Amino acid sequence: MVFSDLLFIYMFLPLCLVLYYIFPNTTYRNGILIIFSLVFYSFGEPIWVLLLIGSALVDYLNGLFIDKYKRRRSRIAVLGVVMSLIINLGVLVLFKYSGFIMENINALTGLSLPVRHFTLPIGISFYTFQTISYTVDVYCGRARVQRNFLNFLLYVSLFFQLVAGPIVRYTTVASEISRRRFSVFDMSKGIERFIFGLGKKVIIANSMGSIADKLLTFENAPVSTAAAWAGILMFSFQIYYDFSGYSDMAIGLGLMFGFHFDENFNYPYVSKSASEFWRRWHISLGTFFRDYVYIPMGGNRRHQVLNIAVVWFLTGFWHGASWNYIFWGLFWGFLVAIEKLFLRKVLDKIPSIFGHLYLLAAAVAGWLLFYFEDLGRLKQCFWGMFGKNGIPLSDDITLSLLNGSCFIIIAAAVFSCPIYRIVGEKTDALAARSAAAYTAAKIGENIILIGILAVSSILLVKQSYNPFLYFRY
Amino acid sequence: MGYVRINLKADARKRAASIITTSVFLALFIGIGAVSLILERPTVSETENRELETFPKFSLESYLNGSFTAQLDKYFTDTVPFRDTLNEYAAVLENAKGIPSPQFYGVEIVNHDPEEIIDSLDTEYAEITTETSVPDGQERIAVPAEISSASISEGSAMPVETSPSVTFSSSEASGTETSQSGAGSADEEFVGDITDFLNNGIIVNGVDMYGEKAGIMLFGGNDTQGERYANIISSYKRELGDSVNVYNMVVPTSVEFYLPKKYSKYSNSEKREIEFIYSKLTDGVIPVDAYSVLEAHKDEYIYFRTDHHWSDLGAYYAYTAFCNAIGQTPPALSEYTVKTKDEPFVGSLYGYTNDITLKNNPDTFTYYMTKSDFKGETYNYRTLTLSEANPIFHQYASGSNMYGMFLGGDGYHVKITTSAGTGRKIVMFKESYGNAFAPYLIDSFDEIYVIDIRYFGKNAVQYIKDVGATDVLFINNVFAANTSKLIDGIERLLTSPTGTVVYTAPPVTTSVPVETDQQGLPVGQVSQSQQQQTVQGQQVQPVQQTQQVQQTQSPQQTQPSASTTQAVQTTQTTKTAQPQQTQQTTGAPAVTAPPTTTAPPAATTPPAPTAAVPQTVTSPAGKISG
Repeated sequence: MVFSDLLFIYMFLPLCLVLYYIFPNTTYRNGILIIFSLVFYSFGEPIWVLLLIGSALVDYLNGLFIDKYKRRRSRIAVLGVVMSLIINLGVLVLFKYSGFIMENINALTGLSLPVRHFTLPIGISFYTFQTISYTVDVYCGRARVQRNFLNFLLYVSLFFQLVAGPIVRYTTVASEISRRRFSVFDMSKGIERFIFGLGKKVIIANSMGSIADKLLTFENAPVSTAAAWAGILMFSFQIYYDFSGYSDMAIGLGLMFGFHFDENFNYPYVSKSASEFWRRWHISLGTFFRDYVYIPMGGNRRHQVLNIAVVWFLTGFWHGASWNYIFWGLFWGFLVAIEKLFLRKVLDKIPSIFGHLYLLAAAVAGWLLFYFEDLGRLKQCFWGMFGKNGIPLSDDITLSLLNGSCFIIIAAAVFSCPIYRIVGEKTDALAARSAAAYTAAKIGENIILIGILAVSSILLVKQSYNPFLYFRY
Repeated sequence: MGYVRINLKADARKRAASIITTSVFLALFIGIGAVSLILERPTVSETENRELETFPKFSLESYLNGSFTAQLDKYFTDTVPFRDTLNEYAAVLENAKGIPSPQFYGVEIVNHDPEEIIDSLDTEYAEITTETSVPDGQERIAVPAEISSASISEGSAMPVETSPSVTFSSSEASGTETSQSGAGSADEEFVGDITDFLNNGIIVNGVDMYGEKAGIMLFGGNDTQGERYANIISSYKRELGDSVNVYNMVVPTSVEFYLPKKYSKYSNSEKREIEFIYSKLTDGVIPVDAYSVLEAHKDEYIYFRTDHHWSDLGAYYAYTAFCNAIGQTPPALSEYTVKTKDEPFVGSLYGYTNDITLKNNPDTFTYYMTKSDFKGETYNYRTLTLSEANPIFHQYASGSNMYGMFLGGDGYHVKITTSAGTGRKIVMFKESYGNAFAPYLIDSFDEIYVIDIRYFGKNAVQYIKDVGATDVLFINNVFAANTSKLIDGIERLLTSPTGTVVYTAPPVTTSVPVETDQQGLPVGQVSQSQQQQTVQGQQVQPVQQTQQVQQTQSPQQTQPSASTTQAVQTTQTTKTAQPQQTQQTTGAPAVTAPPTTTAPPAATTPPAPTAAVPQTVTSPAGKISG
């Protein structure tokens, strides 16, 4: 199941909320959340629920192991971290990368080892990282050990962030697992967040995605310049609205049930440099690699270039078992590295508009790498973008697609700037000044929310198939 | 102090606002959820012409492999109360996303000379053949493969994937249901055939026809298939010899006359293709030039804006061309009774694209009825036993099924006995374009036998000889004449003793129909006996065909349980003691009773096949989804 699904919005969620709030006691409420989370997960592939529980159990035991030997100040404690890493990464490699690795070994050596592609258990890239963060944090003393397995299972399986992030660290929610306070502020903020996220996904991302797919699925004919640019730009919007919409919904759901997750997106397209972009894009992944790979490797102090290369290789590879993702990661790593070396100083001196333009160009180039798993088609699209396909620059279909969705495209461009946040802050400020103005603003906001919910729901009746892009990572 | 008080006030306001927001939306989530449980869920979509998803059966296995939950999810979304209305709203919303502009459904961007892509089309055509298993007891000729799910996502894709394309299973075979299904199942048929044709997609809104916006299906045919078509028709003439005239008419479609020049690269030339086919005809097959006469009248309402068929007027002009070929003078248009349906007609192109432009520019459905006397009869297309009288003009046909007005739909094998007195008898092989054409022949032939190429259970040459036909006409639109499956059908009619009907059921001895009708007899048997009585009562019936009934008993009685149940329900609802009465009462069902009762969902959810026969099916899915 996904959040942008009528069954989820009007059946699963209300049922979960009602049952949850019927019970006054956190233990029962946690039980309800675990049950609902496992049911939610089992809507994809029920069999992998076992893997999820197994994975939780392993790291729960690793946590206890680490804690036990840490108390004795024994070095054996590190074995718990090693085990956690081996098991989690092993599972991840087995399911996600074994096919890719075998193929490349075969290609390199000329052998013909058997290649098996597993179906990827949903959310495995996210929850394996979450449990790794737990064991490492327990070892480093940043987190206290969790002695109650159900509490730990709740952390791992929580349906808000289970399938597509954000990667919530154990330390972020550790205290809220056993103690949460209901707050009507949180509840209403959560609902707002959820509905905005839903609108981002259903109204904007799906529209952008349908245009991008039509334009970039060229098979029998080369792609025109207009189609290539429009396709990649629409995909840039799609992936931002899709993924940040999902994160909004996850954060909103968390708030409805009293959890406070960290932000995962902060208007990345307004950045002025690659490093800033990555402080604003998929923040939970960037900080994960920073805290668990980059800094342990030595950060800025030792072989920084190597550290950057490793981190960005992993960032790319995490997104998928295909070369284009690796190139995509290394591409960003390269930009971050040259910014650290000299570009940063240049960008700081020239007018900021150049920084914006540089970043947007970089982002679009990045998505070009990201979109095409087939390197041949990537090349074709690239040449198309520069008019080298020997065909007219534009074509009827591209123009009519862009025309036919022009209002949504404008909206997508406008809302990728922090408009909503500024409006929200202004509205909040009104509360202290004028009751009438605040009431009017709030009524307006609620009407907009109802509108978004209604439009999204109606569109969902028609779109029976709308998976999130990040569902399979 | 003042500052603190203001803050307190602000907090109170914020709290109030939060409480209101929370209550409003919790009420919405919970309320809509609860109401959606209480309200009745639709089972069919009228506008999309398909059965909706059904509630899954729970089993441990289906749960563990994820199919239960997947189906539950589909069911919930697909059967949302008021879904057709909501879908209309969705279409309005989709339209509001930008400035109305030409919409290309399943059209691939073409940047080069159309001639170049002919080769690539051929390859694709071969690649997208899929294996489809057929449940036992059901014969399958046309099964559109699924459109790739990716294309469905964007709403603009054609919702053909679940259209129950093949409807003639047990209920048809039982013989009591033929007229009852009327327009209902007829349209499922033409939904089926549109997807079978190799096309280049559909353009909507960039095209005007008769002063209003229209949809047009782009022609993607090619010579390889056209040549095969011509060769097979020529071999009919060889088999039949000089005593029988064989005519071939390939009908152009709307794309040829109304596609603006700037889009011409998206469609291949039908004129060229028709000329090519005609040039390949040998052995004295007489080509009929419908193209010129249609072109001459292209300012008149000869095609539909929202449907892939031609109008009855278009069929009339083609008939005048045919009269030219057979040496007759056609009656003038003024000699017909002209009728126009009050209800606007929104046809198949809307079903595929869901484009609101089509809905907003509906067609006017006008038809021309001959004033001559005639008697129409429907024969079971497998057993060739008489099953019903057929009024030929099924005037109750309505909704998106309106084209089912002619003959009652595609799948019927129809015989018309007329008072023309020309001494000529014609056997006509057609797909759905022929439905509108056939009634005009009433003034030209004494006996008319209408055979749908996809549904005929006998060897064609033998049949032509048996009925003593003087003339044979192949009439197909140019998409069909370029579609390998249809050509396969024509070939099979020529070579196979059972025509295009494929018997897949092994004889099963256990009797399947357990439900009984009013007299307490198994329904299946009653209808069989009725059928035979009718046969004996009919003198026009060649004796030989009674034997045919005996031979083909078993496949009819060995239907898989699911579709049998459907058939049983159908029979029960109508209680067909007197076929003639059924005829009367079934005018309404096309509107009131949704097609569920008449159309078993054969294609969508085959009931666990026990003896599946793989069938090669060609579908333009790849092309449509683009």
